[in-house]
Formats: sequence, C-alpha cells, structure tokens
Amino acid sequence: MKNTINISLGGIVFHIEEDAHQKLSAYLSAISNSMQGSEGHTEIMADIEARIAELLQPKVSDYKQVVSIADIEEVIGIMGKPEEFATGKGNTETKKEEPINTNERGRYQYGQRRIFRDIDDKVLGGVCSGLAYHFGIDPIWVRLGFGLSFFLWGFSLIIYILLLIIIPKARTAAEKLEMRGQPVDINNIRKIVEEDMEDIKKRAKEFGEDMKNWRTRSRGQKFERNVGDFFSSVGHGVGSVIGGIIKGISIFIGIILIIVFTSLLIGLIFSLTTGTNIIHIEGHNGHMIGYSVNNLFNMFDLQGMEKTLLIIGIFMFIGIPLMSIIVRIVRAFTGRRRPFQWYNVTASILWSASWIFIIIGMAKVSQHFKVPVHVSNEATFTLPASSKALSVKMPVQNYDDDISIGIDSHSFYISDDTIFFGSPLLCIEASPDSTFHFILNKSARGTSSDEAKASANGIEYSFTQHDSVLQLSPYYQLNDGVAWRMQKLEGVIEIPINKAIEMPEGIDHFICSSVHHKHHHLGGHTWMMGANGLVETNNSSLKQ
Amino acid sequence: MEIENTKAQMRKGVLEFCILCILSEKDAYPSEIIEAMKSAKLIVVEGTLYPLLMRLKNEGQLGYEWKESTSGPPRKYYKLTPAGKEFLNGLHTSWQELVDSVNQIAKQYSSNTL
Repeated sequence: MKNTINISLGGIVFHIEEDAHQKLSAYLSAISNSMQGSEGHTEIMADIEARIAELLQPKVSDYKQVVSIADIEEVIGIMGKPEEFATGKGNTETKKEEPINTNERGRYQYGQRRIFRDIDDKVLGGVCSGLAYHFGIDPIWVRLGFGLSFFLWGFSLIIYILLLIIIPKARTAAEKLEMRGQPVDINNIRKIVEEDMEDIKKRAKEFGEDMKNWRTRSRGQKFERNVGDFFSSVGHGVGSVIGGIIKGISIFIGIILIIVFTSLLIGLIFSLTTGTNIIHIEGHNGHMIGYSVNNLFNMFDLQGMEKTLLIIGIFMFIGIPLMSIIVRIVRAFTGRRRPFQWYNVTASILWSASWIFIIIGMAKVSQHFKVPVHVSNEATFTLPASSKALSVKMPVQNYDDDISIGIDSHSFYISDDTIFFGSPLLCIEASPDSTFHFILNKSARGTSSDEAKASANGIEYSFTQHDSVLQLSPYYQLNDGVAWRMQKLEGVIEIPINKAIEMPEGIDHFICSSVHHKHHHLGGHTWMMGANGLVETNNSSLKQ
Repeated sequence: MEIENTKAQMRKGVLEFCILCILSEKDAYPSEIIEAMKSAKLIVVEGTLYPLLMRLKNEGQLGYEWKESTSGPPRKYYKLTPAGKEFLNGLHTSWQELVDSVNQIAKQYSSNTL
C-alpha cells in the first residue's frame, strides 16, 4: 500500500504516489536551479510543467488512476536531464571561454604568461615545449632549432642546460595555466586538474595491470618477488634514463634525416637549374670531381622543350619521393594525425605526371639518335725498307680522375671541365695492297644524316706516324660544342701480307672483339700477317 | 561520450533555426514542434526546447497566443512575429552558406576515406 498525493500540474489534477512525487519535485527544482537567473524563468517552468502534464495524461486511465514512479522516470527520460535544459543565452556565453585545446597553443594571448618547463610534454626536460608555449608556437620548431644549433654551434647544449636549471617546472595547475597564458580562474584550473586526473587514472590503470600480470607470474615466490621489486625499482630508474637517451637519439636521427633529405632536395634543384655539382668523387690524387645533371644535359646538348620536360620530369621524379620522406619524418615528429591526404593525392598525381614528362622528353631526345652515319678517313703509310714491323705505341691512360659512364658499348668519361671522350676500338686486318693503312671509321647518330655526319666529324683523334712508329692516343675527344650522339671510333690497321706489327702492353683493352676473340694477348708481342691472319713471331727473326 | 557531446553541440546550434522554420509554416504549440523535431531526429530530449522558445520570445522573434484545446487545458500556440520572419530570412541565407562551405570541406574528407 502506498500513500498518494494530489497535485496540480499545468492545470490538471493528478493522483501521484508518494515516492513518485518526491522524484518529480526533486526533478522540477533541479531544472529550476539550473535555469536560475535566466530570463523568463518562471514562464519556462510553467511550460515544462504543462508539457509534463501532457505526457502524464495518457498514463492514467480509469483502470490506472495513479501516477507511479515508473511513469515519472519515463517522463524524465523524455524531457532530459536538468543540465540539458541549459541552452539559454547566458550559457552559450560561458561556453565561449571554455575551449582549452592543448593542440592550439598560442591562441590564448590573454592572461599573465610566464615561462615554465612543460613536464607533461617533455623530451628531455620540457624546456623546448615550455618555450614553445611562451612564444605560442609548436614545440617541434623549438626542438628542431635547438637540435640544429647544437650541431652548428655546440654551445646550444650549454644554453639548454642553463635553461633547464633556470626555468622552473610547471607543477601546479595555476603554473600550468600561466605557462599556457590562460587566465587563472576556477574554470580553467578545474580543466587542468581534470586533464591531470585523466592522465593519472590512465597510468594507475596501466600500473595496476602490470602488477596483476606480474603477480600471477611469480605467485608464492616471495623471495623472488622481493628481489624482483628491488630490481624493478632500480630498473625503473635506469629505464627512464635509457628511455630518455633513446628518445634523444631518435630525435637526433630524425633531425639528421631531415637535414640530409632537405639538402638532397635543394641539391637536386640547383643541379637541375644552375649546374652545381651534386656528386663529388675523390680521385686517387685527392682531386675532387663533381658533375651535375645540368652538365649531363649540356653533354647531350638538349634544348627547349625536351630540356624543360626532362628537367621538370626528373625533378618531380626524384624530388617528390624526397619531399614525401621529409613530410613523413616531420609528421612522425609532430605526432600529427591531421589528414595530410591532399598532400598524398597531389604528390602521387605529380609523380605520375613526372613519368609522362620523362617519357615524352626521352622520346624527343631519342630523335637525336635516329639516323646512324659512318664516316671513314684513311691514312696510308709505307715503312722504311729497313724495318719489317710497324711498332704501335700507346701511352698508358689514367682515368682515375674521371667518372666513367658506360652506355651500351659507348663508354665515355667526364672530367672536370665536362670534356668527354671515349676509347677507340682497334681492329687489325690484312691490307689489300702492299702498304700499311690506318682507317678511322667514325660513326654517330642524329636527327638527319647531315647532322649525324657533323657529329661524327666532331670526333677528334690524334695519331702520328714516324718511320716505323705509329703513335696512338688512348682516347678520342669531341670537339667543343659537339654534343654526344653515340659517337664511336674504330681504327683499322691494315697490314700487308708478310709484314709484322709490334703491339704494346695494355693494348688488348682496345682491340675489337673479332680480333680479340682469336688472340687474347696481342700486347707485348709481335705479329706477322699471314694468309690466314695473324701469327706470332719473335723480334729476332724479323731483324734478320 | 566525447562524440555524443559534440553531436549534441552540433544539433544545438541549428535548433533555433529549425524552430523558426517549423513555425514559418504554421503556428504550433510546443508538443507539435517537438514532434516535428523528433521525427527529424533533431531533438533527443524535450528539455532543450523550452528555454529556447522562451529566449526567442523574449528577443521578439516569436509571439504566442492561448488556444482552447479539446483535450485538457488551453495551449500556448507560438507564431513568428514580423521581426522573426526577417530574422529567419537572415538565418536561412547564412545557413545555405554554411551548408555549402561545410559540404565543401566535408567532401574532401569523404573523398579521402573512399
């Protein structure tokens, strides 16, 4: 049996059970309190009461004449909690002051600002993040600045240590607020304390879990546990030191990586545009050799459209992955999970475009290599009657200082001043008559045969013949202003039957494959041209 | 919990505009407004509505008159005042702008998540 009370709600009479009545009046006074001071307070209350009456009306009938506590609970569920009534104007204004977003540092310029070390967001001592708060910037920049200046001028480490000593830690909520530059009022302090509590709760939970796992593992082994306790406390201290060191090292590596990749990117830009050397190789004599992509373009004598296409293409092809690496490192550093999608999309589109640029550029470049042409120059010489053998001399070449690039069989070398040259191929054949011939077969490619011919004639090769000595140069050069168009030089020495040739050491490297195939070691020996090709003889037999 | 709160904040911002829109069609008493809002899933609890109506009335956007009801006591019928109509016009334009710009931004997100 329950007592009922008669109430009037919005002009309607209800029989209501006692506990239900208590609940309802507590609810109404809570709403009333939450809206205290707002305009039209009594009127709102009247409206709410009317609505509640309306909601309760269908609950009572002839069979169920009394309002129960379940009915009231249902109505409260529909109407909402007292806090949710507060949408009035006064409320929205207090809302505006509230957003304390730790990610958006520096937005809160008001309030007294003091420097503290931010121990909640520290890498080493929280100096950088504290400074960052003070200047209203992201701590990553301060850390980067410190890291960089540490390598450029070592004294930034001393400055850091000084700051570590001078600047106090932000311990209390009020200090943290002063550090962030937020006014120290109750609302903000509450916010900070809540943040801290959240943090502590999380840590306590993790700790509790650790303990639980640990306990089950070593149940009943008290001694072990004690020892474990001791070591874990020591280990904790050591661990935090090691953790700090590891953190420091990883940041150090990250900074180094950023520097490396940024300088690569900058180097790439300069190499493509102005011709600054990007690759430096130290030769044996300590002489530095560098060459740039721009030099390479000059060598190919590319101009206009094809050059632009290739420059942009190569730049994007290499630059975009470099840039992505930098972005990735920076992102890992700042811990930003902000969608960087626009970057990824743009980067992949540009990177695909770079492929197209390079392919079109290459296709245009390949036009320069369309028509092959061969040009032959022939020199004829007879040996003095006294000598039976032609003595070939060739100085030992020294390419140590040069960068050798091989494309197909066209190896060429780049030296300091972008003169490039290749090695001639030497062939030895039987002469159709009784004289020695030295034939230079020059070949090159071009857009037209005229152009190709000009490129072929751009090959400069020096040789001298004096008496029985044929002095050969180990390399040929391209004349100034002649672009590389797959120039190739083949020198054919034609030897009359029964005449001999004396080969110098080291010549085998230059001998064309058809001859080299048969005679692996021509160098250092004398050879007689017989009816079936070269036959080795010895000097003494010739002298006679 | 965090997301519920944010969602509620989002809804709160447009409640005023929605109430005015509903009332621009015809005069209504609170329960009718609540029905309309509930069917559009704009309101979760009714409590939010009353302070809003009161504020709009105090600002002069709304007026009301008592009307007899067939079931129970007389009801408060809210209606837009001329000032309220003008206010609604202004809100409507800025709503359109807001929708456009929010969609513009949200489009990036939805295209990215695809």
